[in-house]
Amino acid sequence: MKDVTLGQFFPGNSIVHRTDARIKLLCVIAYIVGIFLAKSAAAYALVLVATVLLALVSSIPMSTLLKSLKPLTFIIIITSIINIFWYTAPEGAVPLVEFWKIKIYAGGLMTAVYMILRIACLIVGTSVLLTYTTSPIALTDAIESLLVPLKIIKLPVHEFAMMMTIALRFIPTLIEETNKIMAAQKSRGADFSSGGLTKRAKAMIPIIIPLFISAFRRADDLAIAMECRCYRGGSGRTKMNIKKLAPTDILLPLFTAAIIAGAVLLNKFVPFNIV
Amino acid sequence: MNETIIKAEKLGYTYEGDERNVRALDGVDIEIYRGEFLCVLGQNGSGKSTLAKLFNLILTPTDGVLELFGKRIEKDITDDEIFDIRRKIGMVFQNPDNQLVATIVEEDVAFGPENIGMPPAKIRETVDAALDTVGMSEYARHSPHQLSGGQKQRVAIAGIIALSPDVIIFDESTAMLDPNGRAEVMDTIKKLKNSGTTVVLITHYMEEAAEADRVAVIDGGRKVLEGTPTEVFTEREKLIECGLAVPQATELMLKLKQKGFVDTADVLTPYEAALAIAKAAGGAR
Repeated sequence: MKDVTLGQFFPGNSIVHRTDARIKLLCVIAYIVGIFLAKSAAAYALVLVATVLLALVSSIPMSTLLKSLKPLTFIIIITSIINIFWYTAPEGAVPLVEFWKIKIYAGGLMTAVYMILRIACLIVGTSVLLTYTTSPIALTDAIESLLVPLKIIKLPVHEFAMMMTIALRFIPTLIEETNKIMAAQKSRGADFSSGGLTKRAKAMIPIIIPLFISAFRRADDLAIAMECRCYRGGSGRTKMNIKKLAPTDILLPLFTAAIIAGAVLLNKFVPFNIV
Repeated sequence: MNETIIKAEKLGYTYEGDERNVRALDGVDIEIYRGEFLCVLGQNGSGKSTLAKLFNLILTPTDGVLELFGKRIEKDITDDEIFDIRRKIGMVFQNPDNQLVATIVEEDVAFGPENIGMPPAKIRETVDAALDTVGMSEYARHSPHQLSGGQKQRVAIAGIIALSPDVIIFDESTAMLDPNGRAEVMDTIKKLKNSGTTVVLITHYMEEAAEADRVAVIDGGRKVLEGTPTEVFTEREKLIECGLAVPQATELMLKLKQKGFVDTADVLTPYEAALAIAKAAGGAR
C-alpha cells in the first residue's frame, strides 16, 4: 500500500522531462491526432519510429514501458480477434486460410496489426510524453493555466486546480491512515483475507467508516487552517513560481507537428498497403 | 508594560447545539502584550481552544468585549476586516497533517503569501527566509509526507511566519508530537519570541508553560489563575482542581488523603509516595 502513487512519475532530466507541462499537454493531444491520422503502412511505420524515438529520448526504461502495456493485453487480444475473424473482405479477395465457416484474409491480419500498433503507440506515447515525465503538481498547474480562458464562462478553474492539489497532498496521508485503521482492526481480531467476496467486502466496512469520518474531520481542519492563512479563493492570488517558456520548449511541438504532417503526406503519397 | 494588542473583557462564547447550548467561555478577562510569551493552560474542554479561535476570528464572541489591535470586534465585522486581522494574528493548529495544503514544502510555505497577492519575487525571498527561521531549508523540495511530525509542524509554522504576523497563536501545536518533535517546536517558538514575535501558546503540558513569561489557567470557561509560571505552579491545589496533569504519584496521594489514609499529598515521585504511605501505615521502618 505504501507505494501507491497517482500516475507514475519517473523523475529525470531528459528534454521531455524539462519541457513545460502545458506544452506537453498540448503535444499529447496533437500526438494522438497524429496516430489516428495514420492510414497507410508507411504512416504507421513513421508513428512507430517516432514513438520509439520519444521513448529513447525520455530515458524511461523500455521494460517499464512494456509493463505499462500489460493491462491492455486483454483489449489487444479481443480487438485482434474481432479484426481477424469479422473482416469484411472486398469482392474477389482470396482468403489465406479457410476451414469450416471461418475465412482469414490478409487484409484482416493487417487491420489487426495496425490496431495493435495504434493502441501500443497511444499508451506508450502518452505515458512518455505526459504521465511518466511530468510530476502531478506540474500537471495540475498546467491544467489550471490551460483552462484559464474558461473563467470567462464562470468555470471555477482555480477551485478545480486547488481540489486536485489537495487530493494529491492527502493521498499519502489517507493511505497511512488506512494502514493504521487496518492494523487496529486486525489487532482486535478482524479478518480481511478469508471468506468469499461478500464476506470480504463486508469486512471492509469497519475500515471505510472510520476512514471517511477522519477524512471529513481533516477537511474541516484544513478549511479552517486555509482561512487562517488568508485564503479567499482564486481572486487576487499570485504564484511563487511563474513558468516561463524556455527555447528548448519548441522541440516537442515541432516533433509532434512533424508526426502529423508526415502521417498526412505518407497517407497521400505512399499509400502502400501490404494488401 | 508594553502595548496591549489583544484585550478581552468578560469575553464569552456559547456553542449553539441542536439539543443544548454549550457555554465554552464564560466571562474571561485577559490582556496580551506586544512581544510577550503567554501560555494558556487548561484541560480538555476547558475552553482554551475556543479562546484561541476567538483571537483569530474563526469564531466571533457571543458576548463580552474583544479588542484586537485596538479594534473592537462586533458581530457585523466584514470579511475584509477579518482578512486584515488574520494577517496580523497567525495560528498554528494541533495536527500538522491537516494544515499543509501543497505537495511540496516550499509551495506550502508560499500558500499564505500567494493568498495576500505578494509579488512572486518577494514570495521567493519570504519563503526562503521563513524556512531558514524554522531550520527546514534543506527540506524545501521535499513532500510533506516524507517528514516527521515535528518537521511538518515546523513547516506549518514557516507557513505562518511567511505572512509576518505580529502574534502567533499555537493551539496545542505540540500535543500530537513525540518528545523530539515537541522539543523542535518549542525551540522554534522560543526563537520566534526572541525575534520579537508575540507568542500565545495553548497547551496542557506544564513543562512548556514553565518557559513562558506569563501563564493563564482556564477551567470551565473561566480564567482561574494568572501570573508568572512560578506564581502559578505554587497553586498546586488549584491546578489539580482544574484537572491539569499532576504527577501520577501526587494524584494517588491526593486520593488517599481524601479518604483520610495519609495527611499529606506533598509528593512528586513514586518513591516519595511509597515512603509517605509506609509512614502512614504505621511507620514500619
